Amino acid sequence: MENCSMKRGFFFLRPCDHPAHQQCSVCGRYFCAEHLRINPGKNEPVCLDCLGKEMQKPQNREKNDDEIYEPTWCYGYRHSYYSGCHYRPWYLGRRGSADNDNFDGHETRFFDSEVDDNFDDDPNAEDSSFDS
Amino acid sequence: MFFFSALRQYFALSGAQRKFISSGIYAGNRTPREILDFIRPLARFDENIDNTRSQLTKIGCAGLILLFIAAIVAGNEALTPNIASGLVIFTAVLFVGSFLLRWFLSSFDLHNNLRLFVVPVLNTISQDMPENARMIIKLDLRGKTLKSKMINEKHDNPGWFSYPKISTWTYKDYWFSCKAPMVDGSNLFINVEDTVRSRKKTCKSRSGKTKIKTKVKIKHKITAGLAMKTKVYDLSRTDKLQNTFDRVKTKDKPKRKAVTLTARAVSTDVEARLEPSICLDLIGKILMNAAPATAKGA
Repeated sequence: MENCSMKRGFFFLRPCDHPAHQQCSVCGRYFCAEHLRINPGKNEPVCLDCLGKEMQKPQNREKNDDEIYEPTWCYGYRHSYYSGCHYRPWYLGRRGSADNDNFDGHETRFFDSEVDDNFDDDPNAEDSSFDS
Repeated sequence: MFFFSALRQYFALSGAQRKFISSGIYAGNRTPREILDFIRPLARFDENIDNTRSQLTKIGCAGLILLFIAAIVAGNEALTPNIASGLVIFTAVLFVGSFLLRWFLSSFDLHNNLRLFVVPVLNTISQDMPENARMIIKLDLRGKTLKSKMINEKHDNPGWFSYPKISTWTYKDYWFSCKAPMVDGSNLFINVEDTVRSRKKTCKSRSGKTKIKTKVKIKHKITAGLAMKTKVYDLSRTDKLQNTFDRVKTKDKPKRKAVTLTARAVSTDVEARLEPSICLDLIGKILMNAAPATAKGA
């Protein structure tokens, strides 16, 4: 079975490694269990991106005040954040496919493949970078 | 009713969460999931407490109006004395009881920054952290005008029966900081500090009345920084950040360059909440001005 179609992350997008589990009733793509929820009121599976976008709509915001505490909020908020702040997310994955080069109409940025190898160095190295 | 829902939520909280409500301090080096699992029920409880308190205000006001009506009806002897006195007592209990309960619940109320700033910011950052990575977080929601947070006190008193008398208190509240590794190898740092200036002015009007005016001004300083790997990013463009309104600070180390942006906001209410977007914008601006490092030999 193919992998989940969800792009994880907020500032850095990356593909989800988990196998797809079910189809989203809104966008029709396949997602893993972690990125699917039951659409409230419709009893159908919906991906976090579609659910988040729905909840970000002004008419639904007041109804879903509670959602700000859930990860779903980030998935909805990132769409409005990219448009509002003109932010182009980094994509930590393979370049080339239209799906990766573009996220919901927002152009993504890539690292050179050689540079990718430098991500996993010790995160605690030069930990005092912020100390003045 | 929100009150019973809040009561249920309170009893469902763990001992550590109840301790946080009374102490207002939280610090830890944990995974974002553990931290959010700890804070989320508190945020929901706080929302319920806010709703309960607002509902009690309405009930108290309705009780006051009904008390007046009951007193008028009782005074007109339209009802039998027993019913009239029962009605007055009932409305008086409704009025006093609602406001007493509202005051009692204020000791369980956390600052709205917890649910409307801290939770969304942590939720967002956690999306970009490596799996099982830990973040260091310090949270102090004890209150902005505690005596221990006072940094300056000034009294301008011209003497007996001389006005205006001005007293100014300044407080420094470092209420939120966190440090977390990101998936690209950068280290993220966020710090929020509030400077509260409370000014009490006593003056005498022309009619001879003494008036006391209190004014509060809060300066929020939000700092977000990323210590980014020079192998991964070309950070020569970060100089462009100098042209923005936010204060920029950079620090070069052999392997990393730390870029820190500071934004400021002003409010006039101690209960005013910060928008999470201010903090997320700073991180976004730093990342937007970073270019990928070119591979060796390219």
